[in-house]
Amino acid sequence: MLVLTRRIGERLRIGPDIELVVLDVRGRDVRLGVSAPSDVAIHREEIYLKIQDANRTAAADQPGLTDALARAARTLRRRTPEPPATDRTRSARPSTH
Amino acid sequence: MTPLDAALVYRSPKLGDFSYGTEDVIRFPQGIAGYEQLRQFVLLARDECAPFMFLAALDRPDVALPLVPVAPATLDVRPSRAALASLPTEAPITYYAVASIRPNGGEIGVNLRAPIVINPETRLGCQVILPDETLPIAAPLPA
Repeated sequence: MLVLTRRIGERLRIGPDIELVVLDVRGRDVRLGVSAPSDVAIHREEIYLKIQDANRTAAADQPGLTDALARAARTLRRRTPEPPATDRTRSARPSTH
Repeated sequence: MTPLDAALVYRSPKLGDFSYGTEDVIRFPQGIAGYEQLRQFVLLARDECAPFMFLAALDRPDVALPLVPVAPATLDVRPSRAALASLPTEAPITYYAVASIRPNGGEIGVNLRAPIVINPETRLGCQVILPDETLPIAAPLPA
């Protein structure tokens, strides 16, 4: 890992279009500012790890998942307080053979 | 759909076989959290699970995320957030929450913090992590 010392107000350039600035240091807290193109996602690591974990849990073999989904689906269809969000995305259906 | 398009079959060990066409493939240029290397997905629908669907990875048939369409209002997604996701804001974008079984009780919970966003016209998608830290990762289904 590259280790650099910076003072408040000093910057780092990462590649041609990412800029990192140390805004403030108070005790154990460091305030950083990041400028990056809009297609570069910037997240606090602990949040990203939580979302990774949530996705992996959702995608993994969850015992009883399709049953639980079918149950939840029936409940949703019974309620119908408002029309469901329109879904115009094409999806694949089970092949009939 | 031409017979050639219909020839493609997606075999999911969990969900069964699905026929799909190349026009059904959705590209996630940045992958999704936890599966950053997977770029191509198809949406699989099973009647008994509607409105839930499954976002299934073309290259990893064992990876299928249950999704449920949500209204953008539920998510507090504003056009600027959609712009962050580099999707044209005027496009009819569809939003989905990832669903999973909640740890206690075995019922379905949805992730309102990190919706899956798909542009059905360009067939591009991404997962947006919203900055609002109060949004739950495993919320009960909206009442």
